[in-house]
Amino acid sequence: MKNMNRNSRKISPFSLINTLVLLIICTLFLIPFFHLLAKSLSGAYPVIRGEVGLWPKDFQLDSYINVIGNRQFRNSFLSSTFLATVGTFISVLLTIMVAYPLSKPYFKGRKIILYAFVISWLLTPSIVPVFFLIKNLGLMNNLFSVILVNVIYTFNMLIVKTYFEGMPESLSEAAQIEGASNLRIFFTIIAPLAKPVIATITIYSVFGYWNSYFFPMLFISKPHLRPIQVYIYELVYAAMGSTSGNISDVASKNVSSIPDVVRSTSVFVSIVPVMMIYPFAQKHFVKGMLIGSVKG
Amino acid sequence: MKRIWVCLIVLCLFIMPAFSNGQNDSEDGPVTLKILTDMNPDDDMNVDPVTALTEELTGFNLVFDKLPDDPTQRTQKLNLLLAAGDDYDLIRLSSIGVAKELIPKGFFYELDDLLAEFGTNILANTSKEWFEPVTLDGKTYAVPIKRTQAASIAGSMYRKDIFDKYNLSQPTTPQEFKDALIVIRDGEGYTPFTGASGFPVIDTVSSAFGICNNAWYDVNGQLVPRVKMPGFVDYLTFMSDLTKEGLFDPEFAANTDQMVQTKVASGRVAVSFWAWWWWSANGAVRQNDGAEMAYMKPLLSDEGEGIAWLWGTTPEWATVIPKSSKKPEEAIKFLDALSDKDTFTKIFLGEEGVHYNKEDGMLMATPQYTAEKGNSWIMLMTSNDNLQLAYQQIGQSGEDENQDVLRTYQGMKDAADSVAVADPTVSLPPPEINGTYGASLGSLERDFILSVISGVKDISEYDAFIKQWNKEGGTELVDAWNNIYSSSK
Repeated sequence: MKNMNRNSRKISPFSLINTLVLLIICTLFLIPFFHLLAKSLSGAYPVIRGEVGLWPKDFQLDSYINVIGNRQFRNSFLSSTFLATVGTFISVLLTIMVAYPLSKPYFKGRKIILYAFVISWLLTPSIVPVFFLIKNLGLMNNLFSVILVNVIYTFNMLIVKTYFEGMPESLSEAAQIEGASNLRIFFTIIAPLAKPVIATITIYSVFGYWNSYFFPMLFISKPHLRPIQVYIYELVYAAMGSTSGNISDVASKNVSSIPDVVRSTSVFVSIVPVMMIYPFAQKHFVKGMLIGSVKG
Repeated sequence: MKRIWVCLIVLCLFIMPAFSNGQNDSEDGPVTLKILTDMNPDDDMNVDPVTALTEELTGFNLVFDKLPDDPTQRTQKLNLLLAAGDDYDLIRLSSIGVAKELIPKGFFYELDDLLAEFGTNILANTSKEWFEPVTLDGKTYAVPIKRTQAASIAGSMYRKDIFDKYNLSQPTTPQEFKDALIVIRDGEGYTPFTGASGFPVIDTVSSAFGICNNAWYDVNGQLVPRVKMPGFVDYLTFMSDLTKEGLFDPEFAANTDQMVQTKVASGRVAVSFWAWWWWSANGAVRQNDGAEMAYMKPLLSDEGEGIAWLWGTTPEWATVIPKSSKKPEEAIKFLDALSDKDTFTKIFLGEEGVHYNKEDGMLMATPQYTAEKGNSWIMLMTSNDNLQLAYQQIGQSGEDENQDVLRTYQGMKDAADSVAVADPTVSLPPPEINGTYGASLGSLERDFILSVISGVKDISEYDAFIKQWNKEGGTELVDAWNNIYSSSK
């Protein structure tokens, strides 16, 4: 009986169709990716002539050598790496340290602080006050400005808070009786137990900082500090031409035009780190959504 | 536990200085000028050889910061920086239009006294008329930069080899043009004619109907917007007929610049709108067997009249000194040093035989020019009228090894210069309500042109369109421009 069940599951038309549909969707997502890769590996002329589909034509690797050798690209890559590592470290540390006391029902003023977070999250301030704040803090042209404006993302904080709420109070009580301080309890008992949720928000944070565009665009004017997304946007913008509508503006631009191949290569190299992290991080993405969704 | 804190603090202390923006003037050393530009080569101009050379020749220390390329974001950030009083000494704007918009807001130093005292070279080397667009109530607020000669630069190209194959000569009137397109359509499956949606009015064709890329026209001393020119309806009718008969690309309304270049480069198109800054596609077009590009002369009306967009009759860029600068005198002194004939020659042109050679009366860049001065335009913060043409030729010839920039520019210019006319509003300060209505009226017009040409709307809807155009601020804008126009004469 058991065997029969297993056999019938194997050939179930439902799962067959399911797999097929998923494969098709998967392919749809992969096509632009392979198209980009093919373009970055092709010669300049076939790309302009629109002959490159999913397979490179006039295969070359020079574009990769040029892009990786480009000082501006390297600087931008470093800036983004800095944001994604240091930024994430600070962000995660602060997020869990904020979430922990807020998860304790006996913490006075908990509700007010919580509301303050939620309100500032729902009613995002306009950029003008944020700009002036950063300017007055003397953080213009400093990568910490970008880290600071996104340092605690309330959504992540709420996920962590809910996770902490699900942890048995007796854990910290036991440690308290042994004479451990609050900080010690937090770092040696609570934080290690919260690894799954920390992994989740770390991933959110890494991708958030790696992909951040708007605030770096606003706060960073030093060419060598521009993060990768700002740099890439400018490469891509150069190709958009007159779509902005102001013809005179376009005509007065410098004639330097960046070949599509270089653009594709830059975009591709910039997504490599994300691609490398993603397979390892994917399970945490899924977990993260479920963490705290059911309170025990 | 303690270790984490110590690590964190050490990390911050270690990293902070590396990413801070401390630029301190030393007491005795050269003066440092902070410059904000909105154009950047694909590299950091602070480490460009041109910057090093300029610092050596002028004796100033230069620090460059960059604005975003995207015009919307550029304006947003620039406004914020100016409002916050950031301490830039010079701002180089690669759109004189942006300068014109910001001048009335009072962000910049008035330069007349400074120029009179420290700007002898600038005044001697810049035509008086170039200052007009950046003058408000008789006061100068910017140093204008003239980069190129005035020329008609957005015409059409045709494939000479395809025309030769069908024994077609270059058409001169709309009817001849249509006949030629019919022959091509009935031939071997070429798309006869295409254009980019960013350029709804194709000068080459609209010329015969008395309109072009200019938004305004002088009719008996009065400014008339393009939508109210008599030829507007005729042009749209002609173009929509072309689309209906399969002579014009039905995808026109969706074509981006890039798509048009791809279509032409793939060898499928016989005639296409072409802009001179699309030169990087020229090489790809030539990859098709025997393909030869030629630039089409604008079509003429039955009376033999035509018109094309003359671009570059006013300075393209401008340099301003924001009021938050603490060194306006030094900033002008620097610009003045840059405008000096010898310095300008050394920075922007180099030496004959080393950086450029004379060929057929044109100055052609050598590879050494590209290596050392390829990015020299970042330093173009003032101009020198006497050397401008030389700089343009060297700059354009040095852009690419096939000289496609130079060839495209010259081809466009030669084809249409005889009928090219500048927009009469180009050197006037825009009326205040232009900021409110200008852009939306522009896109209203663009949408109407695109929908009529691609057959979504019929030309009979013109009256309704004009009514809407008037209602959405058109009437006021026409009056406002005419007030400025008549008082400027």
